[in-house]
Amino acid sequence: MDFKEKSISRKRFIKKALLAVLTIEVFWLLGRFFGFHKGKKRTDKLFDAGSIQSFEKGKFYFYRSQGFCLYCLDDGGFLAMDLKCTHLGCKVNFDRESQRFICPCHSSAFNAMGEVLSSPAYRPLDLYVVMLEDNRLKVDLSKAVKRSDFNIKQIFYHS
Amino acid sequence: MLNSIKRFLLHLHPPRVEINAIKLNRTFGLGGMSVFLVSLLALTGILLRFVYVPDAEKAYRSIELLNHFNSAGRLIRNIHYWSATILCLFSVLHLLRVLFSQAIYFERKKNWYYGLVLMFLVFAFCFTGYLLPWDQVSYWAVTVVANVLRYFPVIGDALASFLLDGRFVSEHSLLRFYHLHTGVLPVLLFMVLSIHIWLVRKAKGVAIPQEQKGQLVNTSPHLVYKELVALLILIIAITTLSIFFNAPLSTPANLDRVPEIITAPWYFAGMQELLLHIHPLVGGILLPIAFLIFLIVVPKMGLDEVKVGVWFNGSRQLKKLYALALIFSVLLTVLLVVLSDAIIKDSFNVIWGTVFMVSVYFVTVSGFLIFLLRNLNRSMLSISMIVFVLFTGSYITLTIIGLLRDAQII
Repeated sequence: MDFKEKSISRKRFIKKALLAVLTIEVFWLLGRFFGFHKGKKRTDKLFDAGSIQSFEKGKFYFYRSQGFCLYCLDDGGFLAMDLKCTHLGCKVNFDRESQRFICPCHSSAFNAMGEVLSSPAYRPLDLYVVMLEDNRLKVDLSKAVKRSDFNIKQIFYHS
Repeated sequence: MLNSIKRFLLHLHPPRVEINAIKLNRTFGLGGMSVFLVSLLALTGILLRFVYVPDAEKAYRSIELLNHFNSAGRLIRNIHYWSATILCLFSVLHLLRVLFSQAIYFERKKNWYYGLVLMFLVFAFCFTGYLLPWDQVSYWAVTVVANVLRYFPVIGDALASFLLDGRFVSEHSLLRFYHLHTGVLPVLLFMVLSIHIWLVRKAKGVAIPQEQKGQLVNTSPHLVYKELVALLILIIAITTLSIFFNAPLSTPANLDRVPEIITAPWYFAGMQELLLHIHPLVGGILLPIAFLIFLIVVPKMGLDEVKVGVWFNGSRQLKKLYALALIFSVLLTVLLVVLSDAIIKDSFNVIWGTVFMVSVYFVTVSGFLIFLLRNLNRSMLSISMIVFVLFTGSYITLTIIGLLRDAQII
């Protein structure tokens, strides 16, 4: 009898120990899953777009491999926009005639400022922060800034 | 050895079967042909695995090489493609068949659930296999689906990143999809499929009406003969398709640029069309979940009226109602799509458009149901079937509209 009782309690001990380990494991997995642990932090990506004198007013400059475009406005301001459609992540194409960004996947359309002209997208194209360093335009690609509408503050003016 | 294989195959069937269970219009052989397609897919998949390289740099090239230099390589890839396409079609038809011939109730309820799991696995196979050629179409189609997942409340981002192994579709995603497609999913499919087949036998075979029971014939040759004929027809059909129509392969994936025209595979065309008009959270997540819950509840509804094995519950009135519901859902869907294209898309935000269209749809559908229920006995069974017809009718209409749009007819 003594032996039997002991064996049951050992069994229970092992069961509980396993359960405890499993619980820790599950929490650890959940933590990783929801990104509580910060893995490789992306280093600041300051992209050098070129000398400020090299941009013509009223023109779009595309940096396809970086996934963004730089719009040099008629008044000399700059707007850096992510080319990823805010609907489902396809890369938008630019139609020069109508000055629109058009997404080939679900035909959302955006105007030159990135505002939605035609659904299913409902958020304007994301922005990147533009800054001037040593007379060269730098675009901060580390974070795409989400916006709900266009306002004049989003345009970067130098001097 | 051979003898035991033969015995095993024969043991998939009982020694004697009901004569009415093996008539063509009982099952149309859809389940059996699907099993055969799965084995054909396994066989061609194993062969394709000899040449395919799951690497972003080499994947596309390996398929080009397969197409041009391996003996019968193109044919094997085509057979894999066409078998998968037909499997998708047959699984859906199989689902419709068991539902409308009332073979999902009582002891078959459990098997209906295993069938739903199998359906999910088939679509998971299609989705993961779609990325493997690493061409433009597959790359952007997977990007779109992964971004739909992101709209899932709270865990969306984590889910998408888990699936893709990163923030966007990359070579890591390719490896992950390859392993899912050729390692994880086949094992799961094999297990669930075995249970699915075993449960059919446990339920004493195909569901047939009580009054048709009692006439037994020997499985071999009666059933085996029919099965062999069905398999032969299927093999001939797939081989013919594979000889004359190649599996699609567009230009290599370009991560910076989407082609001007991009289309979803036909089994996702309805979903693509839906996402054109309504918000991804609703169209891509909430509605599919609602439909799934409905499918889970269906075999529990109206049990007292079930006539197992009777097509459409036998009554003429109900058949008419199904037809009416189908026509109604088709018209309503077409109307909403036209309305959305003409007015809503350019003048309203998609959120308001979604609220408008979803409420119009559900109010109209409820009105239709109430109208029907006033004119017939309120039975849970007929309600559940009519709701199913309405939803399915709408989705099929969306698929057809999507395909027409892809073909640039509209």
